[in-house]
Amino acid sequence: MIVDALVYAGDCLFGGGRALPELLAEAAAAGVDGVVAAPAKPRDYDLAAASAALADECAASAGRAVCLARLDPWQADAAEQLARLLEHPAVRGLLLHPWEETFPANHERALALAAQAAAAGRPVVVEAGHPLVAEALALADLARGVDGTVVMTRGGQVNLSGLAQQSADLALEAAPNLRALTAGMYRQDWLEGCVRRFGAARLLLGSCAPVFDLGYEAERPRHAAMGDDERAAVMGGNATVLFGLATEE
Amino acid sequence: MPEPVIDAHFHVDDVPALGWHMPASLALEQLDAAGVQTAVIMTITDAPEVNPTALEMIADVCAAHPGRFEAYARIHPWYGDESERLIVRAIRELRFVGLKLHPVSTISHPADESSLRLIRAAARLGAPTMIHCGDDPFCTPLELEQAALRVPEATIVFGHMGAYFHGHDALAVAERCENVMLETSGCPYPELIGEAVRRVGAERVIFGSDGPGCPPAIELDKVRRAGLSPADLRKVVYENQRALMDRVER
Repeated sequence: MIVDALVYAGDCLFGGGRALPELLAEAAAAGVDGVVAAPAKPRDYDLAAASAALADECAASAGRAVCLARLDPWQADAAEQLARLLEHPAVRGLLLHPWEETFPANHERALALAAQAAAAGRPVVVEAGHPLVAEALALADLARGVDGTVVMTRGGQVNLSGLAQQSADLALEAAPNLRALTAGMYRQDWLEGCVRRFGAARLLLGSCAPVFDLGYEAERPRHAAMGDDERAAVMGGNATVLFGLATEE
Repeated sequence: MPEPVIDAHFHVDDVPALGWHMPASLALEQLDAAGVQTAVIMTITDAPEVNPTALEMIADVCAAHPGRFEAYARIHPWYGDESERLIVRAIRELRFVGLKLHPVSTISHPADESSLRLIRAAARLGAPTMIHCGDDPFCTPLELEQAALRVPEATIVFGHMGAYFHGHDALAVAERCENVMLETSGCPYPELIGEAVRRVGAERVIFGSDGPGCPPAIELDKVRRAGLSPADLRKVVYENQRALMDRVER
């Protein structure tokens, strides 16, 4: 099963939003069987409502999509909203977006929400690599405080000179419960090195579509040099287990 | 006959401090896998510092594989007369086809006089200057625009065309500055490459991979997803870089 471990669904404050059915169609065209969807930033800023609506859509997707609850740690009722959303059967984890919600990834409020998700046995996906708020070592710092899996998007890097690679490696080394998504990490050799150094369990296909091109991003791990078993884990095996997609097949 | 392709941005170097090993053999392997005939190669490190033999090493690689490689000279702007002498020597004696500036590795603003001096020297020989263009300080399109405005006779190639967050600035600068061309490596958005062709013309967009970290096969796949006509695609992946190289007085 090929799984895209992160797409952003729904109307987006910043434009370019795609509805879940559109993303599922794109996924199917790219040979991707299932997606893990989080709401794009909604125009009304109501992340909890967007998460609930998306969870309902995912529940009606015949097992092709599961949902991440996206919440803003600055909101006073974030913990309450998370507890409520985690009761929804399609909600399989928490998404934190330090760049768009403007908080340091390792801020105590983010840590509290992440720990709450982890205590419920759910992984936490964090939009990562963004300078100032979500550099890879801040993700490792967050992961150290969480008794569960933390997944950083973009390989924990937003740097086209390759200058964030070493810190991403150090973060993965420091936090065994930290994993990385493939998309937006443009260096194929880093993806290959990640699998070689840390094992295929630490890397997941995740396109962040429509921010990035789903079809193209799905091709990148397909082209990367790794063993067949490793590729199967990266392309969907890891995500299927982590986000519980198998139970929906 | 396969379509002719020139990869305008490929690295050959060995940088143990970063763990980056990029031999010519790896370049040839990746180019062959992608069906790319020729790549413009350059080092990661700059001459004269931190790599005093950078130009000779690249020249030797080109000489050992005729027809497979052309070269850009990575020069550090801080060294004044010596830097200018190196770019002239690279083009006239070693047959390089352009200058590459990486303002991050050299801590040199692209519009500082030390950088402009090199860009002018390359332009006097008909050679383009590729500048790393992304999200880093000294590398944003608006910073590079200041160089393009000050040396209008030079062709400035925006390597990576703005990267993750500055792609739209890169397109806007290219619309304002006719001496700016956009190179596709590192731009993760196939749609933006298509938009660049529509807005500034296929004649000013160039395919590059930034290999071997980003192999040309997957980077070509990205460009082919941009929705270009066959004629425009041929310009992007071959004709434009060919024309740039043909203009160099070496």
